[in-house]
Amino acid sequence: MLKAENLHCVYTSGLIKTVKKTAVCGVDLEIFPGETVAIVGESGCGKSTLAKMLVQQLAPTSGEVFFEGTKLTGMNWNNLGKFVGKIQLIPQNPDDVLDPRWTVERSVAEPFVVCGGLSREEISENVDALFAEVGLSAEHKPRYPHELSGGELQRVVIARALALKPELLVCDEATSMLDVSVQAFIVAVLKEIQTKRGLGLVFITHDLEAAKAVSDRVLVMYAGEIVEEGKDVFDRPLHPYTRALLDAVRYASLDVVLQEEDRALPDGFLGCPYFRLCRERTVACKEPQKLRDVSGRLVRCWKS
Amino acid sequence: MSDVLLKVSGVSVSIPTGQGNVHAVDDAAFSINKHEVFSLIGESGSGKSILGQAIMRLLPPNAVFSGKVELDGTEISALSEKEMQKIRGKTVASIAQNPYLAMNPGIRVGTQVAEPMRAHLGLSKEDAKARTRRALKYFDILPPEVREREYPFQYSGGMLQRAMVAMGTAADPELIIADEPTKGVDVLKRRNIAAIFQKVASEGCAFLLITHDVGFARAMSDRIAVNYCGQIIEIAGKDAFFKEPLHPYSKALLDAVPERGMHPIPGSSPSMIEVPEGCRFHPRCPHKTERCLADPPVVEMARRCVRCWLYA
Ligand SMILES: Nc1ncnc2c1ncn2[C@@H]1O[C@H](COP(=O)(O)OP(=O)(O)OP(=O)(O)O)[C@@H](O)[C@H]1O
Ligand SMILES: Nc1ncnc2c1ncn2[C@@H]1O[C@H](COP(=O)(O)OP(=O)(O)OP(=O)(O)O)[C@@H](O)[C@H]1O
Ligand code: SF4
Ligand code: SF4
Ligand SMILES: [Mg+2]
Ligand SMILES: [Mg+2]
Repeated sequence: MLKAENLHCVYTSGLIKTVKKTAVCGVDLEIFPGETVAIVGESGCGKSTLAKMLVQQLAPTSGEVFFEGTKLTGMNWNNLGKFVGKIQLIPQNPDDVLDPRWTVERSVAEPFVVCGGLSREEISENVDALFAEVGLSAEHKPRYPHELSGGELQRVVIARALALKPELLVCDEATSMLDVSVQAFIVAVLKEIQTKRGLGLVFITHDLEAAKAVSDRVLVMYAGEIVEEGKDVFDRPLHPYTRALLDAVRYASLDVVLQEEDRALPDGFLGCPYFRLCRERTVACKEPQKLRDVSGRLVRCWKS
Repeated sequence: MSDVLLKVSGVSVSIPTGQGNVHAVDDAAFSINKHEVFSLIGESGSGKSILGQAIMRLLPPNAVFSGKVELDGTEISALSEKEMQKIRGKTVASIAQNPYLAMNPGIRVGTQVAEPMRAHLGLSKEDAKARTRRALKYFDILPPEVREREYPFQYSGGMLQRAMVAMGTAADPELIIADEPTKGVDVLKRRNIAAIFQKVASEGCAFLLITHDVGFARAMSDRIAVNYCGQIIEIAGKDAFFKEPLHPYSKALLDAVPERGMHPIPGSSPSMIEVPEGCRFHPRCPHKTERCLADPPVVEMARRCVRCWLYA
């Protein structure tokens, strides 16, 4: 359904002295209809950047995105319009899509208004149904974003993303402010839509237990690259970083885990990006690492 | 002096809206000792953040507050705004739920993190800067010399969250109210946050931790309180709580964690305007009987309490 090839994103900032920062570096990925893919990885490794590139909110520095065979990158706005409803992003920060001066009802109705073809009554019926679907009631509708709790706001954004019946939904930390029960409820709603309509789901999350519970396939990212990909990653992690991640879940030791003095790799270092922190590193890790197929699993580490 | 640092008694908050009054907090009563980590978990939209804001006196301007909040023997709910400003950030620090709203988008992150140290600890510019760098480095915002000069929009979600934690713990406060401090933070860095909280707590600081992360609450807290529809329905020591939660809502909540298969609680969250009569959980409770239509008492037991007729 959605296919991304060799995506890169480099942020440049600063007017006088430009600083370049690579956020995503050579990501290939494919998502099939009706599939749930979880993306996990450390904070700042480029997950949100990748999500924005997949939904065409951010133009990749290089690389291509295809949706059902059609190339989206580089397409002009008029043609892209046809796809806007089909691929939706639930951003990490609700303020990205909600206008603080609008009631949340108006924000959820907006996609219908933009698409046209519906009468006022039909729009308001649809909006009511969406609010009910995410577990909100009529009392929340006429409020402004700052008058809702964090979790309620997150659900408003989910309702808005579901408005145009998307075929692919990218959820960037979409349930991070919900309690476990409401989170389970939202996941159940999404899964139901998935079985009904074959919705493709991308779940970006730091909650590894949730990722394990909902996903068919897991991608592990580190420093802008995919370091491991496969079906039973959490049961049998192969990459040293994935293993470190899973060990941390148990809060086993609360000793202060200070990071190494300097994590930054020397300029021009092309080897494994996890080199500085990896307990299993050897000289051979200074060579560039490719994603290798290890019995149905893709791993970016020569040791596995 | 007793060991009690924060004492909240009979606090209620209601917020008028076009549809009626939102009863966000109803009769909250608890106290937090020095060194203690007190966690508030519970349903989304049940009034946890509003309770935190009520203690900090940062409620929406139209909210109606009643009750009493005492900090170290001083009734802070009766102080003037000017006196309260001195307490905020110095004695009590808060880590707000939404970092994008709490951070000023036009000021460099380093300057914002250093601000409480300059204002409340009276550090010189250089000292504050050095300390800020150390804090950023501790929270893995690397390299600090570059990151301190960046603006909030250049940070990833979890990075900004960690910058907020750095800011909140900067000025050696006595009480930290942390609202969802770990959201958007990966498990390895969550451990750093847990570790620094425990270090700060061992130095005498108390915590009111508002969180949905049950694992984090379990790892961190001394006591747990559970909130449902504006009311605290259970308070218990951590071990006792996780061994055997008493309130039917607490039980259902712990059953919804991903490890146990993500089973949502049947039924929907109640309205906060027209709250259910009697026990607020009764429309969804598997154990309800006739008497649950009357307000349940807060049943005090050895070192824990629960608001439910089953234990009366
Ligand atoms: N607008 C921007 N300008 C400059 N740098 C940016 C910008 N947005 C993100 N970055 C940088 O790109 C990197 C990746 O950010 P991204 O938001 O994709 O991370 P993430 O994996 O989503 O992290 P988190 O889990 O914390 O949300 C970070 O180092 C961040 O500082
Ligand atoms: N300014 C406001 N005006 C009216 N109602 C409000 C306002 N702020 C919050 N509320 C309502 O008060 C209730 C409690 O909100 P609060 O933010 O305390 O919830 P919460 O327990 O922190 O939830 P979450 O876990 O989702 O953050 C919610 O029902 C919310 O809709
Ligand atoms: S390639 Fe080497 S440094 Fe990288 S993860 Fe594998 S063992 Fe560790
Ligand atoms: S008071 Fe009754 S309805 Fe409420 S939680 Fe207890 S048993 Fe259930
Ligand atoms: Mg992100
Ligand atoms: Mg809240």
